Amino acid sequence: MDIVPQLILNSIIAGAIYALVALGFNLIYGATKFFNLAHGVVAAIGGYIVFYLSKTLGLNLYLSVATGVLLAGFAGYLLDKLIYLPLRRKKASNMILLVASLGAFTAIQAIIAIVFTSQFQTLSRNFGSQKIFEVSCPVALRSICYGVGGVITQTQLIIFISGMVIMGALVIVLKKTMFGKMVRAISDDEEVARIVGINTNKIIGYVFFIGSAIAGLAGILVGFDTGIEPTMGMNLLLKGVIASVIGGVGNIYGGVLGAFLIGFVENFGIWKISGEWKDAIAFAVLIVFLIFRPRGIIKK
Amino acid sequence: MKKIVTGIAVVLLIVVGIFAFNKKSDTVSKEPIKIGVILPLSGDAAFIGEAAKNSAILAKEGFKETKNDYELIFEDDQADSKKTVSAFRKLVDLDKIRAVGTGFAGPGNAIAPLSEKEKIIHFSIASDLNIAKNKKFVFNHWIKPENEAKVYIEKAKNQGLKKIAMLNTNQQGIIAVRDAILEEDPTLFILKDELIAPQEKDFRTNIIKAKNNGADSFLLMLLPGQLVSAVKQIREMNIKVPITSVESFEYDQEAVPLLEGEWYVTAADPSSDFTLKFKERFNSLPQPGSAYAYDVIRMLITSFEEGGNNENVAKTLSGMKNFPGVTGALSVDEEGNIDSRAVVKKITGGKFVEVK
Repeated sequence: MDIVPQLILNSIIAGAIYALVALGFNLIYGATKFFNLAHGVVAAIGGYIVFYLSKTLGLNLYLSVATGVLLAGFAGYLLDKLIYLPLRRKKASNMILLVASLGAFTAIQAIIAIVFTSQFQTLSRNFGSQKIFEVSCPVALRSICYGVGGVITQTQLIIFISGMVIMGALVIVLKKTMFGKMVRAISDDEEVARIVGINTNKIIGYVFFIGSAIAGLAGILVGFDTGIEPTMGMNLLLKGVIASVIGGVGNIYGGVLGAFLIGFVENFGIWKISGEWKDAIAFAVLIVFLIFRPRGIIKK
Repeated sequence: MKKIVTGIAVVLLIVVGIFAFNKKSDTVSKEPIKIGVILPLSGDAAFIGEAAKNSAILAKEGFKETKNDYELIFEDDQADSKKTVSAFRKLVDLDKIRAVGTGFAGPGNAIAPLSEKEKIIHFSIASDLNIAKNKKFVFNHWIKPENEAKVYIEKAKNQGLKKIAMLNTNQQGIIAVRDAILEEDPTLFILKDELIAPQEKDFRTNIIKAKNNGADSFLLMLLPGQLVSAVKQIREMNIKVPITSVESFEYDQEAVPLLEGEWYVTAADPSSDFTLKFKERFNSLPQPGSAYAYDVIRMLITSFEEGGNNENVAKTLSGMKNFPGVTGALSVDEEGNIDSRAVVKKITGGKFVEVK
């Protein structure tokens, strides 16, 4: 049974990564009502910017990460201004926007591969330099759980904390600020929001910036945890989308809940069977939700 | 009469002219025998593909005087089977190749049936012996998985390993080696069916399963990119048991610094003469598979020199015994495979050093 605490930790780590992707994805979906598939490649942009600044140019790590997050946000902003906004102005359907986002995803992914090669790269400079925390049984419960525990690395802890902090910040911004109210108004009905004087295109542009910056941070943290490659965006995107759909697409809490559910189901699912079933398990859960609860755990 | 003589002279002139022209064009338009070489020239395995490409060039340059002219046409497939098939179609339909070489099991398996159908001589460099099985025009050059398995098991027993946790990518070449190892001695292993999807980079749950089962070591046969993640995650989880492999260590340069002192099984080094020639010509060292690529091109050109159509060339290759290769005396067995010697190597100072 001593495998369980580490399995729980592994599930939390995986869930936190998916949550970061789902948070940005849900924020953008909430405002625009289309599946922005380019969200995945924006995560890769974040990772590669840090790789270039930190490993190639030797820039300060924190500065590189901050630049990576901002530039990933800017990339998302540009995608909106250059591709999605002109399409929205032409009254393009959500399907057209989805196809356009797929095109953007594929093109940017190919450009990354051309510039940086397809080779897998690690962001962490020195292996072994990061702290590893041992999570053990609380003293008060030693009599029943002595020897039970697991390990979590500094990066994984940052991933988890980032996910929670960003979720909290998004909730506060959306509920307590004027900007948040405008985003919610657009999310409820863009046409009405425009009639009451909200500059919807400007607000959606900001939403793209924030959502993409969160995706960029996800890509950077994944880069530190495992590594980066041009195709990393697709896997992250798929898990983020599954988490969003399961939790309730467009819902901030739902996305996070769905992400942790997927993290737990995947990791506990392969406890007794081969690891290659991981993706099959995640998609099976998605299908079950689509059939029996298509609007997710928390309806928007 | 004058008209008749003039007519005969003109006809003769035309006949001589045509003859002379034809003779000249025969020399000028002597078509080279085209050999397509499909390799990962970009992507994770590009360092292997580039070195194999250089080996092929070196092999061709080694033939000073040949009956035929030869042209090598290189295509990049990033070791992606779909791209291999596209490259193969281009080579066959547009370039009119007579032979093709591929690297890795996926690409080899993808075009082997097509080569057989098109009667194109296909030489694969891959660890899956089934690529050439029951095919007349397809050949394969690698160490036989059985040989690697024997050497691995012997070394593992010497090291006193009894519970080796298997963590392998679900890929044809890797499965072939895994099956051979389990055939040799299944009792040394745990998590025998633990396979990983090729895109997976999170191995934490697989690793904790191994730890929970009392693993005293790991056998990692993973793709480039996966290996470095797996090794990192094993060490981050404070698991300090030996990490072993068959071949994988040489394909993931990022992982090498993390594997200092660990042993693995792979092909024996090529002759020092080949390594020296390679270094002189390209100012770099050969990579895994480079020597095979060199031998394959030499065997192909030697067979084409015997003449005849591809049926004859395939027959010549099938009958090849003790061909002087840089990896030893090479013989093609009844299933079209060429075997090589397996050895134990250790990562010492970031280099792959044979354990004598």
